[in-house]
Amino acid sequence: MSQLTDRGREIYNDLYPVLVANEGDYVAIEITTGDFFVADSLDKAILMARSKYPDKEFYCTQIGKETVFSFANRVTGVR
Amino acid sequence: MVDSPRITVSLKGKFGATRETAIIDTGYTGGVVIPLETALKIGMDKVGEGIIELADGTNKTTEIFTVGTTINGVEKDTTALVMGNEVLVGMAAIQPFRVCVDGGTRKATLEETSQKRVMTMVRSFVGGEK
Repeated sequence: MSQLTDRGREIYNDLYPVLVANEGDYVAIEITTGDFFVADSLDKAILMARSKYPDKEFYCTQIGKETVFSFANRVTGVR
Repeated sequence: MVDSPRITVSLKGKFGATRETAIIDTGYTGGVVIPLETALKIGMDKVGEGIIELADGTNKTTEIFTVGTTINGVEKDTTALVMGNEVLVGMAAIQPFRVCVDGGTRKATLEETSQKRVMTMVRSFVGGEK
């Protein structure tokens, strides 16, 4: 893993007690300040993060999951 | 994914734009996935990193980019991954739409759900057709 992901994951774990109220939402974390941005989509979280830190990169994940996105999604529904 | 439903998506990067036929991948929870060749051609802005779950259940750290997308006339900045050899459109990118697939041609059509809701409300308000 890269430094961004390593450090981002550490900060995410520290923040988890605060973030858990928004489980299922997405978070973008700026790793040098620990500042974080939560929204119901990663697009929105990144937009908020970039408006404050236009040149920074962020660790991104879905709150309550280890991953930000999955290729193993199952679409469910009622026929 | 030869028989997968497809839609047309416009991608706009830092250096250029392109119009691609993309596979609708309901197994992907994110926005769009773009092949390296296309990403290099249009120029994409790296915004971060994250861990993704691959189709086989394994996890992988990957870079995350943003790209301007136009899907069914709706323009927005969308998160993108760079991988594979075809443009994929995931669930986050088609979230504003209702998707209808023609089983014969495999062509998908999109309908903007929020717009439809507004139109229904307007019709109801003016006492028009139900």
